[in-house]
Parts: sequence; C-alpha cells; structure tokens
Amino acid sequence: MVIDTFRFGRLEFPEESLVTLSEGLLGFPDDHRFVVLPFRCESESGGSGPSSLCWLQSADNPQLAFLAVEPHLFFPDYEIDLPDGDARALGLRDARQASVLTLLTVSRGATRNGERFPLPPMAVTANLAGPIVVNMRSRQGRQVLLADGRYGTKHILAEMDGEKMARGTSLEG
Amino acid sequence: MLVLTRRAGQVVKIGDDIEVVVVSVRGDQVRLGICAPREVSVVRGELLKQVSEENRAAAQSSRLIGSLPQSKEEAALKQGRSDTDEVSSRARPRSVKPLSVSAAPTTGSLGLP
Repeated sequence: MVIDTFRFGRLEFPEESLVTLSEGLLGFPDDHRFVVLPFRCESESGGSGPSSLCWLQSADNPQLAFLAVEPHLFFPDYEIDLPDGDARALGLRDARQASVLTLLTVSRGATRNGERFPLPPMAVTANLAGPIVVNMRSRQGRQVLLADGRYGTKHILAEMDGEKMARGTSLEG
Repeated sequence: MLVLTRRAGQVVKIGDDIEVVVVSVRGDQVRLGICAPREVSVVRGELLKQVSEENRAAAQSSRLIGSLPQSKEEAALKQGRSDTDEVSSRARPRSVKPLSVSAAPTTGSLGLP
C-alpha cells in the first residue's frame, strides 16, 4: 500500500505489515492503522545504520508519527503485568506472541511529578506507564495502562545536546 | 450522574459483579475497595489523563527529531515549491521495509494472566 507522510514523503510497503490499534492511542482515538518504520538518519559522515529506535507512523494521518523503542533495550527490568481485559482483547495467550513498544517524548526543560525531578534541558523520556502491546500473529495492538504505580510516563532514556537532537544524529545506536 | 451518600463499610453494587466498598474516610481522603471481574479495567482517572497527555506530547515532540533521508525533490515539496518535475517525483512512492514487530527480549517480562 502507499501512504503519504509528512515526515518521510510518500511511502510504499506491504499492507500485511500494518499494525492495527483498534481503539487508537489515548488522545488519538481515530488513528487505528500504523506502520513501524526503522529510525535512520543522515549522520554527518553521510552514512546511516540500523537503530533500536523506530517510528510508529500513522497510515491514516500523514502528520502523526511517534518515536518509539522496545523498552527492554533501555529498561531491562521493565515488567508488564498485562491485565486480563487487555490480554483477552488482544487474543494473547502466550507472552512469546507479544511485542512491546514504548512511546518516547523529547522534553525541553520539563519536570516530572511537578518539580521534584527536573529534567535536563533536552531529554528523551519513555512512557512506561502506557506501553503498546502487539499480538505479533494478528498484528493487533493496544495501549495498555499499568495501574500498579510502578511506572510513570517520563522515564529518562537519554539526555541530549539540543543541537544534535534537532539533527537526529545522537539517537543512533 | 448518580450521587450516593455512603458511610465507611457501606457498599455500592454496579451490575451483577462489581462492588465498590467505602473502606475508610479520613478528612478529604476516601479509601475505596473495588471488587470487579479481572477483565474489567480499573484505573485511577489521573492515569488515563497522564498517558493521554504524554501521547500528545510525544506526537508533538517527535517533530524535533531529524527524519529519514529524503530526496531534494521531497524537501522542495515540503517547502511549497511545486514545479512539474517535483510533482512527478512526489507521485513515485519510496519503497520501505517496515520493521517486523518481534522484539525478542520482551518475552520473559510480560506477565500474562
């Protein structure tokens, strides 16, 4: 299928690679179809390599793209106790069928929990309280709310030099 | 909205299988106990709001980050120039290979009911 995106221009990929979030994301209830694209940037040397980061690009809204990552690469102890309702909605019986993505936010001088944990001028944070769990077999996914209070919406993943961040060069890896 | 007055220890039933118990009332804090089937999602209202706001922030902030390499024609198109050559190149989609959703390290730490 062919989609238009604001960030990447017009893209073509097999329709089977779509991920469907039938309830959308919280705050974005109308965007259901996404494609997971590799994060590749032009570096200063002109080369580009594979990266653990990816883009969750809406197939329906050219402007909507989220930076995402498989959370265990950065938070190896991260545990998701998947609520029954979510497991049922996803048709998940076996954890090996599941894949997890966490949305990332780039914050400038933001704070977490009011003022207690001021973030550096430019930081990438991961929303561990609302991971996206995907049933790899059906390619259905949903944003799961982890209500036990162990995880928040802004866990620092990396601190950045603002200029590099704007060029996207320091996120490779 | 239905408004009920309850005292500590009293119960509100919702449907056949949901029970809300007022555990204790101290000052402006009310402790509630909720018995519901496991498939019913029970979360604090703030969590919904927080995650929803974080999603919006994530969508906004992704614009701060550099993008995939794009052709000069595409860049020109974004800037609003549109002579015919650029339009024809716009019509040709770039073929991409989406990532498979199969990140391996997840398996051990996803607790299924």
